[in-house]
Amino acid sequence: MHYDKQNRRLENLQAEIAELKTHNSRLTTEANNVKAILDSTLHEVRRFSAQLTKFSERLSRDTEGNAQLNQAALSVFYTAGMISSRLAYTDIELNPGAIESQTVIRSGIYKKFDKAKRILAEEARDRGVTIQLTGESRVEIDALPVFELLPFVLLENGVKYSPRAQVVNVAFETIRGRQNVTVTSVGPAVADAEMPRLFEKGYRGAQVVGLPGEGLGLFLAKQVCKFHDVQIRAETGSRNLYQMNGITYSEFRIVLQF
Amino acid sequence: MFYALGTPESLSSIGQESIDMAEAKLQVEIAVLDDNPFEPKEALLHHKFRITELGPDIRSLDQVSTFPIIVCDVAGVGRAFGSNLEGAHLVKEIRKTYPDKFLIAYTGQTHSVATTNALTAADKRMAKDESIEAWIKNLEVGMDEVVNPRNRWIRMRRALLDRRVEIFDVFKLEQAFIKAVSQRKPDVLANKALELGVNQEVKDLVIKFSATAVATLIGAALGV
Repeated sequence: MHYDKQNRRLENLQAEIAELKTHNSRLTTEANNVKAILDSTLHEVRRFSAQLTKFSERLSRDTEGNAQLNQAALSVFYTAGMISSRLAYTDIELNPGAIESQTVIRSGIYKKFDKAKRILAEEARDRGVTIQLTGESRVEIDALPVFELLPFVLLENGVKYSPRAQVVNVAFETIRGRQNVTVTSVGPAVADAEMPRLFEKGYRGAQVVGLPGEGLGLFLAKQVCKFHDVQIRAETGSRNLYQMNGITYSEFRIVLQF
Repeated sequence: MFYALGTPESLSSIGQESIDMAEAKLQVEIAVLDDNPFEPKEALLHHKFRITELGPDIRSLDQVSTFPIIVCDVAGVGRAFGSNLEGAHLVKEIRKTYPDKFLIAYTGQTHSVATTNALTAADKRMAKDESIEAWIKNLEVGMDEVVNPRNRWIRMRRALLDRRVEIFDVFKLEQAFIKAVSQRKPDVLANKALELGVNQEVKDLVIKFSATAVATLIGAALGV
């Protein structure tokens, strides 16, 4: 009687193990399939991105006499560069060792923000928002390809969350021998309790949950800062400015210290 | 018993602190191995680099012997060498035969740990869509490595030490290299390799280096 019970238990456990093995093998196959899809997709996207860079670079050279066309060609060229930067970040996420292979380029901070401004010029115009760069900076840093993401996501956030007729201001100042860059815009108010969580992956403040977005921008910005030893912090205005469509707006600042 | 007579030539006597990059670009031909057109080529030609696309199907390493810098894609390249690592295997083979060459491996799979690990033989690993600035920077680093005789020998010297050549033999080869470059006689180094008691693989390595790198360095110095 006792043995029968033990045998039944053993049989059940063996059946459970067999089921788990099947499940494990199915998951392994699925993971391999996903990996194969990811490998071929990233490979192809990189190839197309390289082609886009080539064609837009050629176009920008051929349109030097036509300011408007040249600006469009440069925008495509810079946007292709953003694809590369984003993929360079994916590389680091999937293969942390990839960061050691990435080529570091001496780059001017001001130039990088100006480039992001150019990429976003059309979107800003459509939304009635002005991006302006004030002050100057000749500071250069050793930048990884992912650095491009930093000015882009900060300005994009500014443009995306600003009401119409507002300005996204990027101020360059030297404070106590260090280069500060402050991006100031008007955006949905952030409660004090939300501030420490702003740089978390996927986190969205209460005032923006109804607006499009995934809560990735500031997370990416923080990661890029970490790779370059740049300090980043968020600040919010002490008082709310106004309400529109049920959203309370206040001043919002991101301060970078190089 | 050991006697040392005379003063050895220092390697810095044939090295330069910095190279003339414009001159280097004229001298150095860069080979590209890829199964697709090399996308940065046009922009790099505008920056005065000399680029020759050899396609993906090289059958013998002799085909790259005259190129001091080689840029190699990973997927679909070097299949004739029979490894499923394709271009990564080819990079390893080129490194074995020509340790002094500057090798850039580039791939659309920089996210892959396996690909990264397979490319340790390359001097630089790059993504397929890397910026033109990154290509220029890495190619200029390569130029400095292959055009400067001192740097080029240091690459070779490292390979000899990796192959456990006795330090005194390396020293004698280094003196022969300095003499070959300063007197513009590439045979001096090859002859020294033949007379030393080093193994055949090392002899072959030095003779190849002498016939390609040393001959090119001397040719450049003569403006040939």
